[in-house]
Amino acid sequence: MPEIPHDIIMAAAQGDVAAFETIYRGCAGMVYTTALRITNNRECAAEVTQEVFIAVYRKLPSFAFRSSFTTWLYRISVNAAINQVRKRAMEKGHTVAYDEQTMAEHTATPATDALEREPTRQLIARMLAALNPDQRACIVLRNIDGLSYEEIAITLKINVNTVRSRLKRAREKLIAMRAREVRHAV
Amino acid sequence: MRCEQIQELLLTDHLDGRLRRSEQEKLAVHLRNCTTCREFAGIAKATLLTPFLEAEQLTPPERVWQEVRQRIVAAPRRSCNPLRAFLGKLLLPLPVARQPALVCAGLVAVALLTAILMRPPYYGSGPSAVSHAKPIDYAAILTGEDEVDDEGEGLDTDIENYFL
Ligand SMILES: [Zn+2]
Repeated sequence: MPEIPHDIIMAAAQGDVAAFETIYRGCAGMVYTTALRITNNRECAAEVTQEVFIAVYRKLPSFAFRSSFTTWLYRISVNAAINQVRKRAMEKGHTVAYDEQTMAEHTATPATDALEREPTRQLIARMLAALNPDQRACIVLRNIDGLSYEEIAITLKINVNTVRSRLKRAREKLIAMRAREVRHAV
Repeated sequence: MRCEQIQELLLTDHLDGRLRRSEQEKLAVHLRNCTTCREFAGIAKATLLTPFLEAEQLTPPERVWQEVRQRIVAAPRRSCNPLRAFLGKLLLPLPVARQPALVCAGLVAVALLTAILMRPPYYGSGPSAVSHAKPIDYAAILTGEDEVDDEGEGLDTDIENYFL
């Protein structure tokens, strides 16, 4: 996770917009990528990123450095993204199919490199699409963002056993999905 | 341990490096003797770990920052009052709600109306009949000044306050 200097956070907390932009530039990628992987949708991820940074700007004066700033920001982002998925599912009455192009289109990777990475990026998108939002969040936090079970439990406000069982079910699904794909390919 | 238990460990604690040494040794013994579980271990690693190692960080479109900047410059700092957030959410679909001045005017109007409607009846027995209880500070509620500002450490942004 990116580290933001203490004095930048303090300046932003006092309303320094330039300092806040430094925070945004340092952390927007983390917030957006996490939101995108959890929500499946570029528009939703952009909306979550925007709402998270506005909320953070307003809450900065009361941030007391009891945890690291980026951990705090990351937790807010994950929960905002999950809430966005739930809200959208309620509005539409169903889970929206995973936007596979999402990952391909909004990337910071140079074009030549992007071509080589394409299969992996699509594979990740397809795998995440196969999961329900709760399972997806656990996989993103564990496999992509590298959080421990305990950190995931704190972030998602669930207990460690639930983290473990969600990961287990998610991974069973992913293995079954890959097995089907391999069978089809043969 | 049965194959089923072994495969559960392979999908969770083993894959995530959480096994105690003694469990790790039992697992290793089983894998040496069981082709099915050995194959399963290989598939699990290739399917569930390898692809994610190449996951990249993406960048949001620039318009996100422009919008954030515009909103934080335009809006006063202390505005994470749940009531305000709730009203904002109610009003947001209306085009008029996108004009901050109109929203403020609307909120003040609602506050005044509420104050008028909730005022105790006045029966004309002199000024002493008017309630002398501490008046509710509607303006403070709307600007968030009444808020007991809790610790910023927790997950207490306005997003979470009204979604969770
Ligand atoms: Zn076995």
